[in-house]
Amino acid sequence: MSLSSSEVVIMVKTRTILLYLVAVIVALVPLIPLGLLFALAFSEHPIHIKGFTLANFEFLKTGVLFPNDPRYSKLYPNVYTSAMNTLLLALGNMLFVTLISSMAGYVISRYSFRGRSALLGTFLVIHGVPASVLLIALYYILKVTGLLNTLLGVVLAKIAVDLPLGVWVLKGFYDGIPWDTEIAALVDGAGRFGAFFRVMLPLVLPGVFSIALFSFLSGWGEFVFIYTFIQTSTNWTMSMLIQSLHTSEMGALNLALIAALSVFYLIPVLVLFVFGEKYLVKVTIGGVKG
Amino acid sequence: MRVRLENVTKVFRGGVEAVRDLNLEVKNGEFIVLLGPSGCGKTTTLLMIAGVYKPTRGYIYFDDQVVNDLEPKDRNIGMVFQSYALYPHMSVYENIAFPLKLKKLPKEEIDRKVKEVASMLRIDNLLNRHPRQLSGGQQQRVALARAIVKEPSLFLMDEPLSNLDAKIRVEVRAELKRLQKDLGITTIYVTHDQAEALSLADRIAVLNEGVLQQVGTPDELYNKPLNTFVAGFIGAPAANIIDASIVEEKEALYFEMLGARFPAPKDYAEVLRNEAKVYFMARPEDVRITEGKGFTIYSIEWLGREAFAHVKAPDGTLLRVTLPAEFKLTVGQEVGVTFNYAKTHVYKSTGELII
Repeated sequence: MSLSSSEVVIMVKTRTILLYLVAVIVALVPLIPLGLLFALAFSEHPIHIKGFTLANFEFLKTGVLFPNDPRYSKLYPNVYTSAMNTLLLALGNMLFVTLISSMAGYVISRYSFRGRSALLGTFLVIHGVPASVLLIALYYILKVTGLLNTLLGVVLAKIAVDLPLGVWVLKGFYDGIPWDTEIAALVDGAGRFGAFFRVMLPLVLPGVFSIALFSFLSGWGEFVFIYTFIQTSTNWTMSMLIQSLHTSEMGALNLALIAALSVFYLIPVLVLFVFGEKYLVKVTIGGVKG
Repeated sequence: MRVRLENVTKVFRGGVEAVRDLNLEVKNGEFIVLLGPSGCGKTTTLLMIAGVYKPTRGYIYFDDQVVNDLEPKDRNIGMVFQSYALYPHMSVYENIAFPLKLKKLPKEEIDRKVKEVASMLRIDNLLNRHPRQLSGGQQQRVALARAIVKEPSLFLMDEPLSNLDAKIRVEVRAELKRLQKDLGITTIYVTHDQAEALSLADRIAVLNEGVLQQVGTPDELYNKPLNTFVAGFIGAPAANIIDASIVEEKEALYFEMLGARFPAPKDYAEVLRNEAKVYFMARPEDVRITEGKGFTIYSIEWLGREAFAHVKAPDGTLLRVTLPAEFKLTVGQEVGVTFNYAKTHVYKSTGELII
């Protein structure tokens, strides 16, 4: 028995419709809370979603929270200071993790040296250790080095925690490049460094890009280290600022303001997602093309 | 350029000896093939000449200069790989231009040279494509162009034809040989394919387990292999290498082998008198089918120009025999066998040539 062409078209259409239906349901899971967050950010009422106002985003003008209550306002840093701190932490983490892991991954992939496999094993174990387990040790180290309560201290701790995964991932990318390609570059007249920068690095660019994105977002979202190592509120990041608003003991909880700050905090993530999606898809599907 | 290897040895970490005491001289403009089974050390040798590996012991000379410590980039070598090893992120044009860019040549000169080589190899219409958009044969040409464009003093080729379809391979093979002669560049070519070696090489160096077995022209290697390894490795179908005992009876010398007895010709008898156990080597075309008894035709393949047969000896050994196509035989038929002793050889039980 064979199907007529119209029957086939109907079958294909039904399948497409079903597929979209499933996709919509899956997408709703994160979209509903996000939608509620956005609605609350523009709400007139501080707790319930009601009406539409831009009042909650007043802080964008001067960066000052609660401008009408000077005593209360003094407890919180300028939003732009926190945002700048967050950006510095994210960029610092991205820069160093990407820089170090793109070179370390190459060396571990290409050179055999004593302790290479031990090092690789250690990386995996270290990556598996939850950051909160390291808090006491890190606290001690930062205190001794005088980096406690500084953003630099947090950046360094963050790099140390994120680096193993970066090295591991990029080593995998380098492993995927055949030796012949590198030998060809050497014979063609490139030195070790020339071969690395002109041939090897461009070929793992999708991996470098994904590590850069990952470490940027990891730094951008960091909370535990800030919470533990930073006391001075001018060194807070956005995550800390938002968290502190939740636990304020004075006055009523202003959820709408928290939502507005959260939306502000989310902007870079959304931008990166929109512009980076194209590349990320390449990474997961394409990898290094031979 | 002349290349000379002097007692070159390569021991890898972990003690694996990939190449042992290799001595080889490649003349200026010569096409030499390093031939051997996989793992025989031929690629290691090539990479030592390229400067990617350093010899553990011994010296490599380019003309009269020791190059052991010279970086690959300073050796002025053009190399072609089995995998082509094109740079996937560069266009064909950029791939070919890469060695010239590293030499920091002016843009116009690079452009002129790239186009010249591209038209020589008939890939000028592909310059804007990327390697992944090319067929295997086209990629091969681009790889060749990249090696040629820098006008190297030495070509190194590591099984460059192995990934091509059989038909294209024969075409490219002929073209490659022609190209090498036209350019007159010394070429060292690695392969495990003895037919490729025979067809391309001025001289062949056969390697096995890191040791050089024999160097010579294709003709020398085919007709006078110095040991049983070379005898068995060169030629297709493979030569018959037969266990034989030398027996003497009434002043006459015989080969006792295959469950039969063959009188040894005079020149053989003179040198074999003191031997007991030897190997007798006969190529399939040097086995003669005669009328007689004791041997049976086991199988026949008709190949057009000739026929190939397996002949079962009285002791059960299967002999490989090529016959003129018009030679009429049937499977199961009983025949006699003799040899063209002018072309056969005898080796010691340790493998070295006696006669």
